Amino acid sequence: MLKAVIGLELHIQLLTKSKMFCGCSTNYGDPPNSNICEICLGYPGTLPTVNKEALDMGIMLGLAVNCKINKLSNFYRKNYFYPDLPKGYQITQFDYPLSENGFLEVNDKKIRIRRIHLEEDAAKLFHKDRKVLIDFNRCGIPLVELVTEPDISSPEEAEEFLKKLKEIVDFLGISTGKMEEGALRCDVNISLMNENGGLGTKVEVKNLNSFKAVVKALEYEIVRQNELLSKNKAILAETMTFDEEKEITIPMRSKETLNDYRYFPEPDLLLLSITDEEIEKIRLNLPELPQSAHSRLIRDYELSEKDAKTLISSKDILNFFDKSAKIYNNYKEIANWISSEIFKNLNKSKKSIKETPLSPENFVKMLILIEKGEISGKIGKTVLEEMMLTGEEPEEIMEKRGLIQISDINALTSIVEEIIANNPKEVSIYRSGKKNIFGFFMGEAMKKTNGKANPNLLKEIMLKKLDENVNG
Amino acid sequence: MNFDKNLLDYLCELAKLSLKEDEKEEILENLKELVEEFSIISDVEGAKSNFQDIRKLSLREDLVVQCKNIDYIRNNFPSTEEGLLKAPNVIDEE
Amino acid sequence: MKNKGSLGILNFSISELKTLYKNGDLTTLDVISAYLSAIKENEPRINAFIEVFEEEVLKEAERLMKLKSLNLPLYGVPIAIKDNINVACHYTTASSRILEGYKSTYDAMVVKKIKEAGAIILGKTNLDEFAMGSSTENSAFKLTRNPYNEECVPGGSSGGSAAAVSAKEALISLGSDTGGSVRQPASFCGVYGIRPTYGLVSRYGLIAFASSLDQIGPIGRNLDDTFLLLSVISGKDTLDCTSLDIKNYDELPDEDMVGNFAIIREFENISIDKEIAHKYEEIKKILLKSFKLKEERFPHFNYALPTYHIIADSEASSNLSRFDGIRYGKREEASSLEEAIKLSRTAYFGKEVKRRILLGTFALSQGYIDKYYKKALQARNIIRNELSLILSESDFILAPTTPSLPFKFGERKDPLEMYYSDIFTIPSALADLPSVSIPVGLSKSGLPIGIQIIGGQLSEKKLYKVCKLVAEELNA
Repeated sequence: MLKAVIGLELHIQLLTKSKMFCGCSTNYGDPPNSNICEICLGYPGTLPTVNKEALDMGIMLGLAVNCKINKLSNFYRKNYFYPDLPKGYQITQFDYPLSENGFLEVNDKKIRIRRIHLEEDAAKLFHKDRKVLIDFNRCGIPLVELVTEPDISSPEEAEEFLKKLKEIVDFLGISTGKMEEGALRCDVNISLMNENGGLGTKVEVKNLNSFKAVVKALEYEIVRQNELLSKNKAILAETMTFDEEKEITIPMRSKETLNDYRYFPEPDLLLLSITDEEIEKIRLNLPELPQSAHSRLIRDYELSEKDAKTLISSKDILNFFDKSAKIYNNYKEIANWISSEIFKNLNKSKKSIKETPLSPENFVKMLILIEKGEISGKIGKTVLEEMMLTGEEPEEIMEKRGLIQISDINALTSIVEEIIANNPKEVSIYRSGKKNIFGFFMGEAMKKTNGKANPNLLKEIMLKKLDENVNG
Repeated sequence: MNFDKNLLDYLCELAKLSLKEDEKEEILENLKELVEEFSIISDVEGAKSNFQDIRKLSLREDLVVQCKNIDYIRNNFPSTEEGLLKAPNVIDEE
Repeated sequence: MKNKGSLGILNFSISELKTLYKNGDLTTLDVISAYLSAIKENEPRINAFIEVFEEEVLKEAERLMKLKSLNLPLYGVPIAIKDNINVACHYTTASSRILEGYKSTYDAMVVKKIKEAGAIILGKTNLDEFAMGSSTENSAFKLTRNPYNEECVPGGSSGGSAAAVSAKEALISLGSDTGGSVRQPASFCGVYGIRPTYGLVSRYGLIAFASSLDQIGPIGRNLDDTFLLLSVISGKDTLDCTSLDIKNYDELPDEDMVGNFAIIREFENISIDKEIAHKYEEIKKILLKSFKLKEERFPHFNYALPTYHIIADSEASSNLSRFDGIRYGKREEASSLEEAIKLSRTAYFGKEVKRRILLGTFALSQGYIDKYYKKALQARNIIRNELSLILSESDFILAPTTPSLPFKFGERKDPLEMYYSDIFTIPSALADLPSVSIPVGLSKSGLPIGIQIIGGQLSEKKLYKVCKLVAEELNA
């Protein structure tokens, strides 16, 4: 198989309050055509004005990926007709973009970033029967376009790049980076390097709506292109769309057979000028980036690589960890519970940790109860699940659901005696010296008490009873 | 330079104009003449193509400004369905 | 209400009206009624208006009558607005069929300002479609006639605004000037017209033709009225990024005269109508009484017309892409979305508009953009520099406004011939310079002649003084 040469073109929706060129709200999920005005609808006589926050966010991203910020940059018009483009042109950047020549490290490899620039989003189209329906709420929302050099060599590397970039925009607070919400969009271009080291024909793939789709599309293309070449067939320089169901790429019937966009400088806007002082101010105020957080977690909390990687998957998760770690110092335990039970519950409810009422304080309270042996790990999981739904304190939940531990010695003793009486075979195995079977008795006791037996006490009593008879 | 019918057809496609044959003839003649006349522009040397101005852009604060005329704008929509604007007739390839 | 006679009212200037209003000799209703009568009487021949706001205007006059704020700068002044400027809740057509049915949802910034100043908007005036033209013959709706000779054009593209003022159907009006579209019709109709420094007046709400060249400008029957209107509409607008950081007209510099005026050899080499040439020399003599003459060169003059058309048409081809019938305006139905858009645009844009869109598309297209559009940008810079140099040593440049007298309808069929009308007005537009056309008399055949005074950037106050000097001499 020939080596793949992959480049990515990303569009990232920015979390500004208002649109790129007008004051309309960018709020997601509002009723159709409720966040519109004459400007974003391209009414005759209207003019654009530039959102300062969008510019600052663009600079933040540029700095976070080691780009040079251009002190002078310019807006351009990209001219083409499409129903989602009210003015018949998109205001974007062309020559003189906001920033250039950066990189992002992925698995110790530098993926170079060619450029980052600002532009406006288009409206949302819906196809119903044979009709085209348009919602202009999205039209004009600020976008950052990020283009990489073709430094990526595998679908996995592409996915890793996307994951890292998502973490960065999340940590910067400039975008949710969620592909499923359209906040992060990715087109890929891929060619195969031929035997002489030269680049083969470049194929572009669009309509990729998830990390998985990106990987699948690239995998498919690599196979497809290799096959064509092995049969001495030519690869066409075309644009493909990805069929999610069949997981294949198919040629896109180009709407714009003409890619003559007639770029020219936007005459309604002047030069964008950014001073060194402004850039420095933004740099100093950059929030902690995933890379630093990762190092910090390993250094300050002695967590493993794996744990650190999991905890930086989202800023909210990291915040939750940090807050928990401030009040409880069993960091490994916190990390474990987050990466297993909390993640599990979040996936089930399809919520983010911010959207659940679970507080770090309550979470830690629960961990402490387990540490003290007042509840078992199993009960803890149940309590956690409940806390994530109701936000109540662990004790409240335990009381409500009757999860209070059985700590009464007499009660426990009778249970232990019952189990010993009912399992003579296992008892003799234990007493013959095979102490490993101890877990069986604990398990049975837990089953019998629905996990409510105080583990420490139970263990104490169980050991005593099992060893007692031996000694006669 | 040869300003011919093919070029005119290409430009019409870009500008979304579909001229009738007789209109095409006339416009082609006009454009040929004009382009010929304006071609002296390529002689110009010297001053590098500037940004339009050395004036710098002033930026807008990121505040939401509600459009007061939103109902009027929606009333201007030629055709709607469930709050969405309906584009003229049919769908194109996807 | 004193019986001043309808015709008398029409002759009052803004300051005269102000006095009469203050003294109670006239009410706004008197004035508006007089103008409505004038419109009724003249419109069948002149056709300056696309729409007259008959009912609204009387209501507005009554409302103003009840107000005590007689100190508003344009209190009770009847004004006409070119129909490419948005006035809320009214149709705005840009004299194009593609905008039939489109009702403005907002006021242009200049409209806001004149409303706040107490002016009464009589209606919207006719223009060349999308401001593309020099005779108003390109209007999709009607033919406006020159009040001085109804077989002649009023000029363009602000022909309706100039004719309305000239025919005393309005006291003042607003037009727009891209390459001469305020100055040339003002000259043809024997009235004053000002093209302000680019960026002095907000473009927000002006339907864009060429963004880097468009400016809204005032038209009036006397110098003071015209400059007063300019002062009301001037000033920074945060909605228009290209507007200058000048808060209002008062903030403009009031510089001393250097004592020179310039004439440009290349201008004088253009053959113009003999009577215009004669008037031009007359004005030169007047100016020589107070200024020294400097003869200057403008080496890149012959690039001005191509530069203008390439840049203007390129920007226009892009600015007019929003007219696709999808969100507003006239739409066609067809078998595909693509077809529908093409049908609307082809059916509802006029010939000149299509020509310019295609020329602009050409100048920006792959393979030609370097040779045409980019070169034009370079040429524009050179032209700016050459004119700036001249104006660094002189207070203003004297030039004719037009090379010919108002021509007859249908006389300029060839586009290039028509474009030539703007030969003297284009250079100052390319250089972002302010320029005034003043009426200096009539030809033997009774057709108006205008002369241009072109100043350096933001020199409007100087221009006023020069124009005043000339006007007073002429009236003497």
